[in-house]
Amino acid sequence: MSNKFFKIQRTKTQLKRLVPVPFVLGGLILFVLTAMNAPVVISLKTKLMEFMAPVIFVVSYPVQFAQDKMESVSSFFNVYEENKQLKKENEILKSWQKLAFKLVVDQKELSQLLNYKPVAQGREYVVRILADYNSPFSQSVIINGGINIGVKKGDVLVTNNGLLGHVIEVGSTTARAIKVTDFYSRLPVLVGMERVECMLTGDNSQYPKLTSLPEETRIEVGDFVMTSGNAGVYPSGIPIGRVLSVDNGEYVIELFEKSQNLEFVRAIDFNLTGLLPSELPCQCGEQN
Amino acid sequence: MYYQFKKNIIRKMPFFLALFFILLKSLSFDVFGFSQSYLSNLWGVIFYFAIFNAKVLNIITVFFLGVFADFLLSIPFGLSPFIYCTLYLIVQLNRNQLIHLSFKKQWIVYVIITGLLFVVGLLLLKVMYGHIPHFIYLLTEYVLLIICYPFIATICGYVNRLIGKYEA
Repeated sequence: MSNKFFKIQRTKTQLKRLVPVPFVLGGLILFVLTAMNAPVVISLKTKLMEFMAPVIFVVSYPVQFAQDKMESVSSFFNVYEENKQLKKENEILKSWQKLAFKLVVDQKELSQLLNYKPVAQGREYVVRILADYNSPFSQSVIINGGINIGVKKGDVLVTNNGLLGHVIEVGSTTARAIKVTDFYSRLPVLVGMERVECMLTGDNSQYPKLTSLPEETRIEVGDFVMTSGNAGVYPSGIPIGRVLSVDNGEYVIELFEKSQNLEFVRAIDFNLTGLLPSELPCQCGEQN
Repeated sequence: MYYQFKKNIIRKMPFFLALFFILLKSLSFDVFGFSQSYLSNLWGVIFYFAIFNAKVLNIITVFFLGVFADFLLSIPFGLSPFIYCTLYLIVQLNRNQLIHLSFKKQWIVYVIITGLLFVVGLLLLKVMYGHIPHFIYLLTEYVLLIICYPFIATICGYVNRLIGKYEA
């Protein structure tokens, strides 16, 4: 009798230890569904994003504060070098400014001569960045605006420095955008004065690379990189960065927008149709 | 009533500790100028409480902490709940042996289990997404994970003693 009792007790204890098994399987299923881009998971993520956005915004304050402090301490030690570099940069910029004034006048005159009508700019709005993910798994931002202010999938995010990325998921009050540095970002670009067409490929680091280059390309360090407008996701002519180094046929790009401590960003709707429409009803910003 | 409130708060301390470490993980820092890294101490908290006081950090909490971590740190959804729950399961299945080991041996077990789970996580990422983070990043992450365990165990030990004191 007592033997039987102990056996039952032991079985009960062993079964109790197996309670985590369904949770392990649940995690695995969630992971597989995410990798398959299942609509259920996308919808869940969007809802979670809506719910967590205020929490993340509050939580990110102390984290941002700590990061700012860490940066200010490190920049304190580099202040002399930085000042020297800034003076040098300032001189170069002054000469560029003179050239720019001359070019603006020339461009105006030539436009009048040719009766050129500039292409209409897209609808523009400023949004706050709620969360900035710079993890080795993903490079994205969550912005404080969704269907409520007319954010659409494919809207382009730019700052004063250059291109940041584009919107990929839209909720009712928030949206998620991937940066050009994200692993899944493939962006058609033009490089240098010869306007070499190739792809800017993100790898989750701060320095994306140039790929799909035509044979016998003449790209040099310092060459300017901008969007080409192909594929209809980004309009042409948005500045992205410049070639930082060329090593064994690998072209590394330094971005103009390093996306550090960004608070606000401009989102522009160019009405381009390069991105596939979303299948989810909650993401259909286009419907509004 | 105040005592009861205080007792409940103290019982929730492992959860707050885990939450704090997730938030800490969103703060990246430079490791000697060659790698950006993050402190992932949540593994240590789960390992410790799964051995010594599984009641105060149950599997449901661990699962949702994983979901929260995935969301906050932009890790592929489901990876952290899977890894954390597996860690919890392994520890639970071997709890009777682990609880009687010395701290050094527990640390060795921690190094082995986390190492194995690290490899499993990377394999999953490779199979499902086709890419994994840079080697230097992974190395610094794992080394920090191992080095920090004694500190984490000390903090968790203090919290566990506090819980024990209030429950007695």
